[in-house]
Amino acid sequence: MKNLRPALCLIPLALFFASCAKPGLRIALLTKLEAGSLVGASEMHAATLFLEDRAAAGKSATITIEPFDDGWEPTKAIAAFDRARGQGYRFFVTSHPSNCALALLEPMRKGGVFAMATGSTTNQLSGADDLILRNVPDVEHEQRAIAEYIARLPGDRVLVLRDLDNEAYTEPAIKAFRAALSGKTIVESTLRMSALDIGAVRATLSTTAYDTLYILVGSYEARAGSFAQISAALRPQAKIVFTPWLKTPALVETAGPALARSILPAHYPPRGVDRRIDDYVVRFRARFGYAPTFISLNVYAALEIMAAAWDGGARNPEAMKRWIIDKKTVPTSFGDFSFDSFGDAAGRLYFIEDPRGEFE
Amino acid sequence: MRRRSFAAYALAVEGVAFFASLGALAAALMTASAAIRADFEQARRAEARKAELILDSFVERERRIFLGVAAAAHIPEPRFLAESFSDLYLVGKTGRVEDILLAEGGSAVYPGFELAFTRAGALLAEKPSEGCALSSIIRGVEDERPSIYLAAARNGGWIVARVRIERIVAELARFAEYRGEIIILAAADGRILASTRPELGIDLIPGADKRPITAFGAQWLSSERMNQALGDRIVVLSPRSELDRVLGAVRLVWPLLAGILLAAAALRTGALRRRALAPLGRFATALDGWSIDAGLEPPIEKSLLEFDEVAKLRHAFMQKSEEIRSAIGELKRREAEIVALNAELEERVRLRTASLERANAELATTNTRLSGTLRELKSTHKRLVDAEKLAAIGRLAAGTAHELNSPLGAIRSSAEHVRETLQTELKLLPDFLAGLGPDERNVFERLLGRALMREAEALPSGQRAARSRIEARLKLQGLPNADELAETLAEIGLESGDELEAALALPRLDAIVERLAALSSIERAARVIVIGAERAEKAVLALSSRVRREELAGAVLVDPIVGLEAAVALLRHKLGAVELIRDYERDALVFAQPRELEHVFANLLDNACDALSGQGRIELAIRKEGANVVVEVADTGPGIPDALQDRVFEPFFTTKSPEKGLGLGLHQCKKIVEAHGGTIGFISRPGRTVFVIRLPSASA
Repeated sequence: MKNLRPALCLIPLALFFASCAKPGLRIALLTKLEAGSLVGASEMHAATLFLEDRAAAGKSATITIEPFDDGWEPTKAIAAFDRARGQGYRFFVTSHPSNCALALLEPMRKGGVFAMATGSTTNQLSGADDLILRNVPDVEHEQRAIAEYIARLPGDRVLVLRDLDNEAYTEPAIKAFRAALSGKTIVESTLRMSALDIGAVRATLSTTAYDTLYILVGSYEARAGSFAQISAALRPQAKIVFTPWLKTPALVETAGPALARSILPAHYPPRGVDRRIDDYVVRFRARFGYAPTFISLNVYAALEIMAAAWDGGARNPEAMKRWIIDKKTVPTSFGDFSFDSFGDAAGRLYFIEDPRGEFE
Repeated sequence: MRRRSFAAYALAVEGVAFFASLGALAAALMTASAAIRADFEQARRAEARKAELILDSFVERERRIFLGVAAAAHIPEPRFLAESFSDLYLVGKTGRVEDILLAEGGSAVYPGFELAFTRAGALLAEKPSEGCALSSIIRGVEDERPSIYLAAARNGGWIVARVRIERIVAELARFAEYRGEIIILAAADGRILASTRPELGIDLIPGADKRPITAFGAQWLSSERMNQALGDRIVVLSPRSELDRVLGAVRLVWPLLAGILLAAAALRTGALRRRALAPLGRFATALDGWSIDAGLEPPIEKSLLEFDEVAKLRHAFMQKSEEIRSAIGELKRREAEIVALNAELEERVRLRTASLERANAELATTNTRLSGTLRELKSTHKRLVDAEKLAAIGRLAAGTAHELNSPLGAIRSSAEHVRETLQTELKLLPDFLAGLGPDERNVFERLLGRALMREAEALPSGQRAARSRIEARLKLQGLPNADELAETLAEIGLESGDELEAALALPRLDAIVERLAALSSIERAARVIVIGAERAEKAVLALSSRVRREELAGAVLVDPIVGLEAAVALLRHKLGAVELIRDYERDALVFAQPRELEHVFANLLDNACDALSGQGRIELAIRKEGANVVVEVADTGPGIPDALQDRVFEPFFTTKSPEKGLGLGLHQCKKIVEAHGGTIGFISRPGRTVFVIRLPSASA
């Protein structure tokens, strides 16, 4: 018994330290976990890089990030959310497109969880006083910028190839685009990327007269790059404009030489202009062996913002939202992120002409 | 002393044996577990190799079919090729797709597609003229699914085929399903490209750390191979549960064997207790209840005697019992003797105690008596001390009287001389002065002034010669007291010259010189009075502080001759018939307190006078000796006894009677001389004692 005394003395001490120990920030990352896919891997590895950077900086608060596979499909997204909730997660970062965001809108609101959307631009998330924040501009803001850009291009005929598989994004997008573009004729052609008929696309491009081809496809459907090749072959003078959601290295392969005459809208400045972006891509490639998608940057920035709020004392979803909105502008590794009173980000778009260098 | 127990010892031995066996068992089980793990790992490697063989055979089959198609003059109908290939293109020299022979739905590739920009098109850069080029597993541009591409030359261009990886994955899945394994195809950097469980996720495969992988709520052990043909990795994940099951079975053996060991140990211990320790205990109980008085044989049950050891013990006990019985008889006899001796000893002690008590009472009486005697002795000692103090005060008073007597004697004799001379001279002087002519009066006044200004000193050798000449001249003039006149004239410094000639020419020279001598003697007597008074004053000061020291801050240039002659003048009344010889060297000056120096000389001269008792000789000498001036006072007295010579300078040491001094004189002299930076010493033998003082010369 005498030998056990030191151990017994340690018990209250251990209980004391256990009671003093801060509960860490547990974040669920809803993304697409598909073998071999850059999408999803980029986001998950952004989280890995963030945790490694934070550990290297010696930050004290413990942060754990658990990925949940939502397959970028609404039904799988709901299942993944339920799994995460079942494990007690109250803080979420999502990288899925707008259709998944809409599917999770009500479950998230009812669950009282905090979510930072990094890849959903649907305007149905905008202006809502809920706990879902977003660090990318919404679709109206995005399309208005694209329309203003296209309005400055030569010619007055715009052919829009719109994907119907992601209507949660493309439907409000085309509305916003039409509303913002004036003085030009818009011809809209729809298609489904899930049942792509490249011959039909080729026929459309060959039979329609246009000066600008706007490929309104998101969700990193890199196959849309082929449309640019066909357009470049058929109408070499026509400008080709993508959405920001096609900014993936796979676009280099599908668009081929047509990329040189394409314009890629982006949420971040070109790598050659902003060293911070270039540094991130270089570090990411050195660490994981491939170039990330741009949502990877959004996820990294979202994690920085949430960690700053946690370090600032925000310990529950409501407090985290309040902390971010009260701050209005939160600095990150890629610059300041500004939020309005509803937690929606207001950022500008950058238009990268000949974007081949972005993927090198 | 702590007693040990056979039972405890047996239990300890069994315990050690048990735990040692347990340790050996654990080591054996760990070795077995390690062997099982190694066996499982080898099996996993074999599985990985099998999976690679399946992949290789699949790729090789597709490659052969593709080469056949590429070499055929007419490409078969696509429907015959759809089983092998997902897509089949004819590509021109520029890398552009020229014809699509086979394409799955949803493909983004079309005639004219720039295949060269794709990773599949990179195969064309190898320009496969013979055979075919094979890509690693990549995501197809057609539908972004993992695929393997093959390319071969055909009709100046190329033919490219795509094989979707799902087919081989499905084949691998059938193989993996049998053993419950997961097979993963991964890129060289570790990213998962495809797996037999598509929902596995995308995380990197663990490296060589061999740590288990957690997936699907279970743990998996991995083994991998690098496929040379594709440049991809084949990873086989085996459920750890199988290994855990086998290891669990091994672990089950562990408590079973431990239980058996424990039971065996318990049985052994029980048998030992029942067959050995229990009879021993009964034997001990029987001995415990046995008394030697009851007989030599202990009452042991017969069944115990079956045990050879007990029988031997019984026999040994009986032998020892007999020995003990005789030893007890001897002990009892000796005990009686000891009792008798004890009684005698007690009587002796009682008598001795009484005697000691009487002696103690006598000692107490004696002690009381001695205490009274001691008190008387202490009282007597106090009285003697008081008497000694009174005697010391008497001696101090006598010494003080002596110190004062000498100067007071000099003062009294000088004062009587002054009184007598004044009585005579005051009567004679008016008539004498009235009888002098102007010249005589003039000479008289000048000589008188000179005589009064003159310090008392002995005639140096040069003056003694002048005195002799003056005496001779006066004798020629027929003066009856020529020697005294010459002495007086020489003393006032008239040794030669016009003034002497004028004096010698005076007709009443004897009367003039007689008045001069009388008047100058008054002046000397007055100076002796002053010196005597100062000495008395110093004696009083010396007594008050024993040794008086004065700072030499007031030191002046002093001629020791002056101090020595002052001492002579002071003690002239004690010299009597003592012959005084002076040997002074001129200009032997020192820096000193004149009065202090004179006090030293007077002490030495006084001691010399006391030693001579009015008869003998005193020699005074002053000379320069190197950097010192040496003053010597020698007498021809009896000398200082050898035994006392070491104590001469001690304070209060004296050979004289107390009324002649305190014994501080020479002690003071020594202090004064040393205060002047000098030394004082003496050499004494019967008939001659010389005190030598060395003082730093002023000219050094």
